[in-house]
Amino acid sequence: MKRLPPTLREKRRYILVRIIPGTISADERELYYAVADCITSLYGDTVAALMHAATIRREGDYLILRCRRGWETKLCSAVATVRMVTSTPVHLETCAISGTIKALRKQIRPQKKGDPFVCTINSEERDGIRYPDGKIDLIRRDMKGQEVVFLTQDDMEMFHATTTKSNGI
Amino acid sequence: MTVTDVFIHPYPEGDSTLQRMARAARDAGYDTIVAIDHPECEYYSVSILNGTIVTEGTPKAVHAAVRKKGRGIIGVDAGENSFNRSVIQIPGVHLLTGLHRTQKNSFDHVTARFAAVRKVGVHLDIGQIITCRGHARQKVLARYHELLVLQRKFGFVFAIGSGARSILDQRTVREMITLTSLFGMTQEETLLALRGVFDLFEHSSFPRVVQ
Repeated sequence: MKRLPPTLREKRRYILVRIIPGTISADERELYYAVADCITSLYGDTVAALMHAATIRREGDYLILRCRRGWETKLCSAVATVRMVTSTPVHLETCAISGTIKALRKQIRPQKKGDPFVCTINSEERDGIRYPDGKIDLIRRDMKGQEVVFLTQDDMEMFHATTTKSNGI
Repeated sequence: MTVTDVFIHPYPEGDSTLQRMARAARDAGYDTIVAIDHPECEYYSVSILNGTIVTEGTPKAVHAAVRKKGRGIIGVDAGENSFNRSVIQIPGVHLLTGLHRTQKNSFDHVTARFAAVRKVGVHLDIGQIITCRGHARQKVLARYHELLVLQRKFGFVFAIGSGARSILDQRTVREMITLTSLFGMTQEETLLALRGVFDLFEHSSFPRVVQ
């Protein structure tokens, strides 16, 4: 099959989105469903069809989205309303818009990976992830399920938390 | 330039501590946040102002509550039109909040003029656009558009906030601009609204100690 000449091809725009927190284990398909749901909810099926949004690939903490040229602002608005991916709270932060995936890849900043650890607050053991820049994500488990609490190293001192590494040291 | 996120709810009301939210606010492009029931301080070069939302039902009770709260950004939960007009005249009130929950005629052109003269702002909770779906979101967008039309005519101050209870609810300045464009606000108007509360705080009618 002969390819369409460049002048007849659909013009596209690519959007770089940062996934916060980066620890969520959602693939492109699950992220696509979350974004598509928000586009339909905000603008309706007509605009969703014209926008032609798609997820290209997930690269670590980042996701590359695609849409038809001229619809990128609307896609950014819809992305800002995403709150959940597979029942997990998430924030998709728009970082950059470009006409090529190559240019977007240059914008990707590798995020610092956190170390898992266990801490004790009020004689209650909790798992968490500690990042090198002082951020801490604590996982709180109760009857309702699992919830993440976001705090910093200074807050841990305020809570009188005692910590141990994941290997028990 | 001051860029403020008005009325965030840190731990224990939300799931993120004030320090972590201040850090997220800095990364999102803010230099000031108004936190509900937290003392004034500064973390990661972000000024934290104490915010209070008064939910009393009568002007007399609001007056008493405002006197009791003292300094900080004080917002009053909006109600009927007569209540809103009375609240605007109370010294110490900075913002009228929760107008998306009220009837259409609760904030008319007369109230808008009062608000402009008395330098009382209107708080727009952008978090409502994110969390609500379907009819509820349509109602919020329609209400905010009506308020925008009045604001353009009478020139009262808007104060924009994410209403965040978590760092995942906080939005960057760029995202705020795209979200406010949903009800017709321009980029310039959004940036002006993001510094609106700072101007209100400067013009506060409370007496200040001059050193």
